[in-house]
Amino acid sequence: MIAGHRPTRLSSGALVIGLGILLAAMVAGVLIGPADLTFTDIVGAIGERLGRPAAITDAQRAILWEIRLPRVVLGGLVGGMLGLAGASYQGAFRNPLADPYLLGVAAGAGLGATLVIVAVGPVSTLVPIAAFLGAMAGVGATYVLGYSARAGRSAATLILSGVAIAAFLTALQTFVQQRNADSLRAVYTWILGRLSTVGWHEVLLSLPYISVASVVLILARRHLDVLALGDEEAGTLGLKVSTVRGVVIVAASLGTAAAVAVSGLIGFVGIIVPHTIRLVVGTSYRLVLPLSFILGAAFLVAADILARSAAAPTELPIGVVTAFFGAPFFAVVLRTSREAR
Amino acid sequence: MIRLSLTEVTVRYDQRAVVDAVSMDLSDGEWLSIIGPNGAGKSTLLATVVGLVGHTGTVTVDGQTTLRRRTLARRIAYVPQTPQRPPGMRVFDYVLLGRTPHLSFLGVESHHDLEMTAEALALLDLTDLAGRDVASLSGGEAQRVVLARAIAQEAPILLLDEPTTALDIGRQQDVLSLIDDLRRVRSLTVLTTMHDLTLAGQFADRLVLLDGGAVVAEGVPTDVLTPELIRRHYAADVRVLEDGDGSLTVIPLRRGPHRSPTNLPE
Repeated sequence: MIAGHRPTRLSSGALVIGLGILLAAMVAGVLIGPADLTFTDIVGAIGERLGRPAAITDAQRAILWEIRLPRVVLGGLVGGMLGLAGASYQGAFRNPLADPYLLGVAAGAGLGATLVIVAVGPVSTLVPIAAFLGAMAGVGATYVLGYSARAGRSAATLILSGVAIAAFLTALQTFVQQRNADSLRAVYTWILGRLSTVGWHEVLLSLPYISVASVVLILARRHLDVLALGDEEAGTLGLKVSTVRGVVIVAASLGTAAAVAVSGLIGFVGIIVPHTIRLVVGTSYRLVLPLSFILGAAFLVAADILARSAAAPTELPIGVVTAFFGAPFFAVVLRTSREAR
Repeated sequence: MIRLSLTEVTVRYDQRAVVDAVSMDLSDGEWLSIIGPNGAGKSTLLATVVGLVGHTGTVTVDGQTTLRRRTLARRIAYVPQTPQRPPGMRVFDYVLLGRTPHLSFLGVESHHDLEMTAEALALLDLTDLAGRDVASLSGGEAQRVVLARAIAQEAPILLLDEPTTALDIGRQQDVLSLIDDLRRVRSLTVLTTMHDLTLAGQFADRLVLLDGGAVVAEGVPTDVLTPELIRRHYAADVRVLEDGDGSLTVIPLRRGPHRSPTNLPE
């Protein structure tokens, strides 16, 4: 066919490059840390699992399988989900500023986590569940308010409802936090986001939700391209606009709630990752959605390496790292791209 | 054969009827143009036909009154007055969106869909522009790209809201001739709204004059484009010239000072 006479689709080249970047970030994530673990040790440990004896110590084995790898995998899951959810929200609302925390997910999760930390302390088994329930309650309240509005069921009404619900839940959260000064530090640490894990617990907790949400969102990529024409034109092309928007918002919110539950509030990933991809490869959601997951995952794994090692032995909050390095990087991409889209 | 039929179609915003008991029929292969002053309800009527506006009365497409969105989209292609051109979207991808009503919810485009898209691009002489960003096109190119999307939709009825808006006089003629050619090549039934009365008279088989949401005149151009009807409904003074071949030219006349609608101090 003639050049340009093909639809925009994710090329195998772009996919291989994306996955290569993710793999490099994950290998670096496993290698870098206070205890020495070499590439040979990792290869040996993997070979050992496949039945080939290797010369590694019990400590190295435990560091790899129970400390570093779960944390890298969790970073990948959370970063991928936040990137994908951000891109999906931007498509569903046709708004470049939409981010995964738009509809009260963050405020709800914050309130849920704060209540548990204040009542029983920072118990690692309870906080994620409370944060998840709080996030879903926040989105649910936004939906109920948005769809009961007299102004009608528009995307703008839903965003405004999200603003109102988020403000209200944040006010409650701040109130509870200020009344319990002794747990202030634990609450604050949670809110700034971190990827500290207890073995594979957090991965197993969030994996089902993130998998389902991601599959649904990736399947909706063609519909988001149609939706780029606006509700009216998309409707005259036969798209069930409210159904598509509803499915995308529910899936993105569910996945975000699961990600937030195990990692706290990590900002900026859902904005800069999809926009960087748009500036480099184009705006079609057939490219933006899958690449937002892959590169969102790589970005957060890399940010976590910095969070762990920049001020070692103390850890920086990962939300601070994503913003501190992400914002200048995004500014450079914005300046050097041929045209701002 | 009647392709599209409207019976007593009424649209109300609050209590005011924007479209008031409009009835009309479109035969297969016909070009009907709706004319009328600003606010007459022309665009609303078109939007009603494609189900974008709630209404009373019935819209019948090929004998059927209740059609699901996707089925309706396979029968009627609609081009709004100012179509969205999402920045960053390539012309090929944009025209491919015309295939949406032919795809199932989880379906992806088949080889046939790509061929129909390539064919629509070739038909409108857009093959060279296939890789361009739709937001970067000139007004005339954009109008052709939007028509290509409507052609790729493979619907027998084409609805165009003011297809010549923002085009210069040459591009206006190009686009309308193109629509007329497409109508013949693809045996389409065409319903447009139009501002330019001369062009409406030259291209449409039949005109419907709408004022205050209601049909006030309809028929062949020579019946509708009369100085009396235009004065009454547009409050405009015009002269209508008729050529030997029956085509009409509507020429606005400069008003005398006493006919000015304002009361400026002397």
